[in-house]
Amino acid sequence: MKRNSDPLQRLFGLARSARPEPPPADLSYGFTTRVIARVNEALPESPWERLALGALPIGALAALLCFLVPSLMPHESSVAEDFQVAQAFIQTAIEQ
Amino acid sequence: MTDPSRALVSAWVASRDQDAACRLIEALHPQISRIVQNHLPRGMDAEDLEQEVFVQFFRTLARYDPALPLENWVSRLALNVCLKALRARARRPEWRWADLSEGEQAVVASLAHEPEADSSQAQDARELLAKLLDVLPPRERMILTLLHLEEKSVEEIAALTGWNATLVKVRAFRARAKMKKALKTLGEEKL
Repeated sequence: MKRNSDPLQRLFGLARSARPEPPPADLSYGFTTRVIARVNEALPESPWERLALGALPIGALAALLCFLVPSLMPHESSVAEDFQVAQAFIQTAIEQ
Repeated sequence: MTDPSRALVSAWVASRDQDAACRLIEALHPQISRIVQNHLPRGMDAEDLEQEVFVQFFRTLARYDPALPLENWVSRLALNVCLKALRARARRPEWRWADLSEGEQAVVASLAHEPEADSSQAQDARELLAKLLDVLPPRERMILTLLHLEEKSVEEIAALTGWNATLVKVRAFRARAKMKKALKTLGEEKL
């Protein structure tokens, strides 16, 4: 067999023959929890989550306006309706 | 990508399912641990670097194309994290004969004089090699580790790192020249 005369190649060959430390069969205690905690810390919120949170005050304001605006508006339509009812009542009374 | 992994990735991307994340960590840990062990900067804790790989993995998982093998994607990601860690640590300028352990000194001597190296010196050879690799710039160190310790082809290294094959060859050549010089210097110091 031809001997490799390059010391570096022989060093690599020798190092390859060393058994590397096997990776641990089990994860160390708490490893998964630590990873997930760091991931949750590092991950930005989803765009939908941010949109929903941003839209919350706008939605609340819109709901408030929905209640307030009709109560503050003059009841023109109902006044007109009352007037018509009164007219019809008077007309009926006159005709009789 | 196996079907269970595909389902777990989908579950995480769609709803950040914590259970899916736990199972992905368990499934990928052996592969990531092996890569980290081979490219770990000296003095750094392997578990810290593994954690960093997993954090990057989950942060970027939404960009993963399920048509590609997950294993390749994970390997590339792990190598990038290791490269970043190698760049961040201070590189040792050189090693002197006096810095080597007795076993490592014996390896240097046997490489210079004996026709065949003794296989009982394998562990010392690995430690000596780790020291010599530590002197190299991070990318050169990574290429030599992949090429000569993990015995990957230039094409495989190019695919894993995203560097073109010619660049890999040039860097490997330069790195080998530096290591040969360092080994020769150590041998001369011994005399």
